[in-house]
Amino acid sequence: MGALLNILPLFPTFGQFSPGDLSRAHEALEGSQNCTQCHEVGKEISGKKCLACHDEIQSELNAKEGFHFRSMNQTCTACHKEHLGRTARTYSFEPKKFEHTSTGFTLAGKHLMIGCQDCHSPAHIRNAVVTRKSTQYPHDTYLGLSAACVSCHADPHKDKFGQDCSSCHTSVNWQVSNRFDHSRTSFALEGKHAEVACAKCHPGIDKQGAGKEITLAAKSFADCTPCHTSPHLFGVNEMTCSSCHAAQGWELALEKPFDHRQTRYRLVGKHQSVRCEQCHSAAGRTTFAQRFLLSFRKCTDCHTDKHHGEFVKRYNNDCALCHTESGYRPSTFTLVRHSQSRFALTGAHQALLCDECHLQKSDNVWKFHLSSLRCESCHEDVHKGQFAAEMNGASCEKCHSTDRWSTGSFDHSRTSFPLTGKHATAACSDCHKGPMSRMTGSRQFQKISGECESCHKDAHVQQFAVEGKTSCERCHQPDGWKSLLFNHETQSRFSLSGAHKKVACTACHHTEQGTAGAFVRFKPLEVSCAACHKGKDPR
Amino acid sequence: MKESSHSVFVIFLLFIGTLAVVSLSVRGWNYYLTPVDERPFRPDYSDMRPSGNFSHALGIFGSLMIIVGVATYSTRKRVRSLSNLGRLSGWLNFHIFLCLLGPILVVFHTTFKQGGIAAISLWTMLSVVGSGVVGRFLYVQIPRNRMGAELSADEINREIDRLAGILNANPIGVSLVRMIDGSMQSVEAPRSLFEMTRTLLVLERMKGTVRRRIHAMVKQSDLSRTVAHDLSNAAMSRASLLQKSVALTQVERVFYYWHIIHFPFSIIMFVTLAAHVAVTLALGYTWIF
Repeated sequence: MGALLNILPLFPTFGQFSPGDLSRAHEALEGSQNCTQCHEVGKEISGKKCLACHDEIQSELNAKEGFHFRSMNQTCTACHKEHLGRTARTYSFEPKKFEHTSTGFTLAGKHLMIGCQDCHSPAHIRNAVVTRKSTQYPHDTYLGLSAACVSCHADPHKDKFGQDCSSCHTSVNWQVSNRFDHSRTSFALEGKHAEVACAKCHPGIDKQGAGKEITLAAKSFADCTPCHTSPHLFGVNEMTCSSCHAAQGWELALEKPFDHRQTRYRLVGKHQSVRCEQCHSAAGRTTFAQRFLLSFRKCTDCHTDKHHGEFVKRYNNDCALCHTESGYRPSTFTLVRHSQSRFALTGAHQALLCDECHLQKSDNVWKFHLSSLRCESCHEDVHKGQFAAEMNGASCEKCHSTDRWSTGSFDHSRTSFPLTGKHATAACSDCHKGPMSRMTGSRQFQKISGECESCHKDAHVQQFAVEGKTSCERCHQPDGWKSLLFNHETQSRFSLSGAHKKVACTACHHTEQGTAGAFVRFKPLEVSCAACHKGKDPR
Repeated sequence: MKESSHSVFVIFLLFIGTLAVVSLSVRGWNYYLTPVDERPFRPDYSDMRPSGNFSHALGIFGSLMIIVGVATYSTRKRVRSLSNLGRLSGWLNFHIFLCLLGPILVVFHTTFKQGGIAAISLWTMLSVVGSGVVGRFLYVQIPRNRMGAELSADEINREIDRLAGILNANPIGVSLVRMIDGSMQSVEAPRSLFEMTRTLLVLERMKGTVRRRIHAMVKQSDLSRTVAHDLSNAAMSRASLLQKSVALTQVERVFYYWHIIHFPFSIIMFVTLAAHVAVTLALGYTWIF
């Protein structure tokens, strides 16, 4: 009896090794013969057998996405519990407390404002295995969704921009595409382009609920002209707007120097170093044409005529006749060209700077067309009219050349004393010593006789004077004092013969001291032999 | 076992048991109060669940205590060569200690959740424990010698007479004998299990009264401490023997049947325990191993 009592209680529980009833979902696995359907012999539940049945979870793991993939470091039993009874929940899940980031999809923006079922609906399930298994679930599943935007949202761009909507849009508002990286397109937004509203180039993009395909206002954007009107009248040929302009603004400094050769006005010489603003100043110019399409035919379009119209009539004010872009100075008006004018520059005139003749010092005005070309219009008569009568209206050239004042062209042969020999090379003032003042710049010439003594001192101290008058020309000639005409044979009492021919003059004609100084005794001299030889045989 | 020693032992058991229950309860208070189907989602579930590190340890150590407690006592009791290995009562106390504390640990191991073969093991264990308490009560109702062997009826009578002789040697003792006999003889021997239970309860209550009277009478006398002590002990022993002999027949019969329950239940307990352990090991729940 006691044994029976002891055994009976076993019957209802015979084979009941389960620590508790399985949940309703696993009810079919109830029974001791099914333990190993989930449990692995010798080790705790690893989840391998769970996944053998729950292939929808396995598919997520294979795809490396989803909540379960990110929870792979845990076994199934970490979250899912069994043997708690038919109606017990096998997992702890509170939608409102669920950390959605653990699924790999962080809820942000408008995603935070919608209910779970708005996304987790059968229509959005993209996993075929989950779709198949979901029909077996007694409740809706949270599995099977994709993080791709297009899995829930329609793509109005028709896959033109790929499927990474977050590269342009945020979950706050579709209309705000402040994340769109325009550099991914063929046209990166730089400078002021980045400040332009999207709708300006892409019409309709800002309309609510448009969902339209993104279009461009212009048909192309290969260059700037589809959107910007070129104010340039000249053709740009091979150049594009970007050759000179940058997106930071039309007014901004160019990245590289503007090639002025593309215009009708090439920059040459100093024009190349001029800043753009110096010619193309914005002051008083409001339009592009006013500022950049300048007149340039005449230099005076930009430059002030410093000649005050002096060359208008004669040269049509063509600055290029005398000047280049390399600078006003030096002028290109050469001596050759000056020689073609009314006054050819010769002699010292050639060495003068232009302003010495053409700049009026009184008012600092250039005057090139001189009213008088006479010497006295520039030079003062230093002779103070001494030769006015002789000049008889002629200019200074009668006596002087433009080389220098001292080289005159006076024909002395017209006077009673033709200049020969060294007389011809002597300066006028050497003979005609007259009043000369450096202070007043005057130079006057004293009239002199043609006598030698009127200019030269008698070096022979009247030795050869006849009636008080020495005729130097008897021995000397204008070629030089030592160019003697003296013939010792005919003009002296002593014939030089024999060895006397070889004797130097100074051997017989000694220097003596006179009252006026030293002189050479030429005469009278003793002609006897003893007078020189003094009883000695010179041989 | 002397009354005083027994009392001390009982107090000790109570203390240890209470300490275990209180400490384990405090440890897992929140967990045990959580509904079973909510427990898996608690942060301490992995530790507190029956197969968790903590609770699994309780089950293992509790089971080991039960096994040792049963094995030692049963072996000592049944193997003749070990009959001189300490008093049986002492081994019984050891058995009682381990088999009270062990089940407490096992109960906490279950986390008060039951199901399957483990539940069978639990309830058989609790039945064994309960029957053990009853058996302990019945055990002490049977007079035994120092070694714990049951005394026969003749031995009981001889002992009663011997104690009467000691008591009658003293006038106070005579009064004590008269008082004891008068009290015990007023209780009739039970004829059924129900009457036995009632009688034992009456006698137990009466024993307390007798004890108080003995102490009062001895105290009132001018006996020396030693004599008073001896007289008291003799009086109490005689009262105890008389008390036990009143329902001895029924007690022995019940105690005989008690063995049929206690022992088989323990067998079932061990069998189901073994099955439970085998299944858990097979399913990989190996604690720290």
